[in-house]
Amino acid sequence: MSVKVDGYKSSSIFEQLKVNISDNEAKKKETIKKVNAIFEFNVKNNEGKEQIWTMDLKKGGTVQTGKGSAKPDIIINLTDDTFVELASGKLNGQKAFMAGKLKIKGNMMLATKLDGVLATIPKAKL
Amino acid sequence: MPPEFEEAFQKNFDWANEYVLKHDKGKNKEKIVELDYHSWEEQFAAVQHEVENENFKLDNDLQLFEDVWSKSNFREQSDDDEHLDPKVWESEFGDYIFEPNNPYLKHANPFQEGMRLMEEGGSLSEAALAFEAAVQKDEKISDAWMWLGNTQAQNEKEEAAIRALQKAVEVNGNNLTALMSLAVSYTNEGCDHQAYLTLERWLIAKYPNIAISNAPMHGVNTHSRVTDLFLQAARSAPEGQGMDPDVQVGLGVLFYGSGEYEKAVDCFVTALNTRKDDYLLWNRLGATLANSGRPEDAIEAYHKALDLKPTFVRARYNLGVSCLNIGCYREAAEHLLGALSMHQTGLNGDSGVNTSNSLRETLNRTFLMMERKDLADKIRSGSDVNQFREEFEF
Repeated sequence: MSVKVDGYKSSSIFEQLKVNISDNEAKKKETIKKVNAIFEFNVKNNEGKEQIWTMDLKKGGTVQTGKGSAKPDIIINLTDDTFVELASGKLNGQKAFMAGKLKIKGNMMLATKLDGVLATIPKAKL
Repeated sequence: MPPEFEEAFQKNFDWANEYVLKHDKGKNKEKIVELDYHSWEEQFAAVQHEVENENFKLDNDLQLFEDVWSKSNFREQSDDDEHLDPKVWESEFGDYIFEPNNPYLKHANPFQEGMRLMEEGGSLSEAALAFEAAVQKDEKISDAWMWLGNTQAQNEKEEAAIRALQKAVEVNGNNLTALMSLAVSYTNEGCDHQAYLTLERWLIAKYPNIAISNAPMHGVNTHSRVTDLFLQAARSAPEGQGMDPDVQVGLGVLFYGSGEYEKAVDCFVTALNTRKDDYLLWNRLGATLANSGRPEDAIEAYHKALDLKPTFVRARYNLGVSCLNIGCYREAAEHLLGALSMHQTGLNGDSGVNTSNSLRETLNRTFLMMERKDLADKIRSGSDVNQFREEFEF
């Protein structure tokens, strides 16, 4: 089931993450072992609308729209643009937090694990 | 020039002044601390334990985070840091790996041949072979290494490019083109600090007076220092007469590095104003737009680059990436396959020892997005790109 939501640039990235994670069972298990966390993203787009995506890298290895059934280990509030920058590799979790671009609730350290997950998204080259 | 470029072009002047004013106010509230990824995680874990025991509610509180932060051993990057010694990080890329059985080794003047291929817009892979032969004949020609590096970068073979460009700079430390290209390649690989130092070398080589007139600054990080030097260079030759587009490119790379995309875009646009046919610049503009969440504008810029140079593999790769990111999977696949097909040369018809993982990997992801596991498996197993011609047009 697609996790695309109109009006959000992050949308296609979540779609890619979903596909990347479920690509093969072995890789999924490995990722879950390495990350072992449930991320909840509250993404605000340029029109001021908000959308939640939940990335479960602890139990199911899934990405879904809306809140998950289990309690998230970290809740990140950020803008659509910031998420795109994180995915493009230009901004990493630490820099984003230091610049006040991420509001975090929960286990802050998980923001660093996010970089590893997003590294799978292809980036444009100068 | 399209109206939106005009607008960006005009804006360029204002922010340059604005930046200077802000900077000169000495209001250094934004401490840019560059951190080593791994040590951050370790140190944070150590502090985390303490924090949990004190029952902190880690809730958006920047001040709290800074307290936690300061308990760890972070240092602001300074240039006395031997860990950042160029010799150390340069060696991490290693030596250039040459294609065996290179037919150009028998050629009388492979360097000239390589230049001809480049000028005629021929295959980048062929040109690379010619330049490889050139440097194997005489490794002391900095420009031959530089052209090899530039060719491989355009051919979306970044590691090979970096290895060649490092040699170019080793042979001639003042090879301006090589230094700029190297800085860009480092940026693409996430080696930001190396990129900034390389840009600084460029600046010192081309504008020695500006470098000399600056007293060494302590406690200012590399990015700020180098940006400041470039801004001085930009100011020294105002718009119109004598504007150095390379200074704008350097500034663009610096702003790209710190995530200040709007400024980076302005810089590349300014440079393009006097170099409308510079396909490398169009691609750089495109990549900046893409990585700042403007895929449609990026696509426009990539098309300009490809109109000027259809064999520009990197631009085609970037185009594929942007299509992928806006959900146009079939188009993405066609662009990426097209790019990959350009790697084939007269030599055995395969892509050689210097391969492009980025191309195949991105194709893999694209096929997965299309829910075509069969195609994904095929591309991953190293299949010849022509096997895809039945289904895709490229």
